Amino acid sequence: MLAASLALNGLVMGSVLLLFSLGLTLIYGVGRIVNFAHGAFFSLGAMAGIWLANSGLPFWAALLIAPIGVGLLGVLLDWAVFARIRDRPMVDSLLLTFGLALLITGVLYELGGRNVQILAIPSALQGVVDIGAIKLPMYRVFLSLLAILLTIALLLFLKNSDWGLRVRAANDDPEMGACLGIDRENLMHSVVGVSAALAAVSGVVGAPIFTAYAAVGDKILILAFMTVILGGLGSLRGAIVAAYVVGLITVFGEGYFGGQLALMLLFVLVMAMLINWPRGFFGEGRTE
Amino acid sequence: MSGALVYDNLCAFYGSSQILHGVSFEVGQGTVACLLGLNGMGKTTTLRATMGLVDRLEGKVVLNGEELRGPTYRRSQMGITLVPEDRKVFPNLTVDENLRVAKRKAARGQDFTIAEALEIFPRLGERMSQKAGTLSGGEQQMLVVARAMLANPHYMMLDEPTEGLAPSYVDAIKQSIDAARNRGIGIVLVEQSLPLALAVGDRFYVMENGQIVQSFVRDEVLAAPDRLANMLTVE
Repeated sequence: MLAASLALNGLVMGSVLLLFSLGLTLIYGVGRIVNFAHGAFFSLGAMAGIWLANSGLPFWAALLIAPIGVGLLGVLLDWAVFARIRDRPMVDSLLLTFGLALLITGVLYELGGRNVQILAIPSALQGVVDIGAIKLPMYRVFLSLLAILLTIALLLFLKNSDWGLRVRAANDDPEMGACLGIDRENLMHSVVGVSAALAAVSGVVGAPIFTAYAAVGDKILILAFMTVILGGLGSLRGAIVAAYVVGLITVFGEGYFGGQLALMLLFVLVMAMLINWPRGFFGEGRTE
Repeated sequence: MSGALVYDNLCAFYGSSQILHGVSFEVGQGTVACLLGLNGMGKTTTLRATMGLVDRLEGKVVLNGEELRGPTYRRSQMGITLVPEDRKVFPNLTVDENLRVAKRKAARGQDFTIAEALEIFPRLGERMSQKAGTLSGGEQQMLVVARAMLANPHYMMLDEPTEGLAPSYVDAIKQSIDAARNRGIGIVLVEQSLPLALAVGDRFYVMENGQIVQSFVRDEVLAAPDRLANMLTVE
């Protein structure tokens, strides 16, 4: 039973990581920006969920409104901040987004994010789902399904829409994309907006489990960077597999060995990947 | 020249190094200008500078009476595109997607269609659902040329498009240049292979140390091809 429970929690963690990491991967792929502020988008989503719920709105409204708001903030930040350092050395984006993360986290602290809060699970998602002898908490099943459905929707949109085609082309080679008239600036605004919204979705749906406070996105950001490295920088399908690998290792490690040992195990894996397979699981990531 | 691509005293810099020292020449619609010269003389930099892919520029490039300015995508949208020398396909896109992502309507109303591009490069038609990164070098080169045609630009810049290609592929590249020229697309061709340059070129510009030092019209070159051959590294 412990293993089944850990497996479910690992899938839940993997699903949250998946939503979160896809955005991180897209932002790096198209804009070559390593976005340390992505964790702050998660925190912002979680906190916005709490604020909206406290103002009397139902969970479902919070799940809709918070990502839209955070997504629009992402568009604004890309236009006002990220665009200024486009194509500059990567260390510039590291420092700038790290500073932006501290800024957003600081603002969240001042707006009530010092206290750890839990978003209430809506009544329709309380209870358990019986699968044979295994009882699964309904909310965790919902969270996993939502993450998987959103991921499939995003991948289908990337595969079948003109927007997706341009994003994937710019993800492969931004300079060549520009030579063919792809406007990376406008594309990046939308990519950061969608990515921030996905991070906020994961923040809202994660708030009943991982809680909500100003820095709740910090841990998920570290795990997401490991996901992106294991999957290969800029590789979407690599990120999908890596999200569940990281989620399962984290949860099983915490269950059997304790949290710190689980993280150590992940760090060893990431180091081994970086040294031996720097292009990630499918060999299609970038190494610059 | 109406509709011409005009280089006016173009200087280009990478960091503090000046690579181009006042390049001036003109290309007309539906004509092929060949940039020739030894390696490292500034031919590729001329093409990259046209697309805004150098650190700093002085002088100007004028297209249809309007100066090319701003980021690369805007220059491309004004009607110019580049086929770089290192076969830059989008490796994780299929051949079909590589072609579709480039497709734009021609300002002149004479669009190249995907079907027409595949007539010139039938091998690509057999690979439409294959990831471009898995194509052979020759197939990738055909794909980038076909992709540039589908952008339906006013001017197409080709950087050593036949380097390392088998003769059958070289023939296909030549066909594509002829087809583009027949649609009124002007071409700037950087080419080490003198036979191809002689087969398609209308004007020939020889570069040395970031400058154009000599120019010839087609008849002059055909009358005395050795004059050019002596100036070039020919494979």
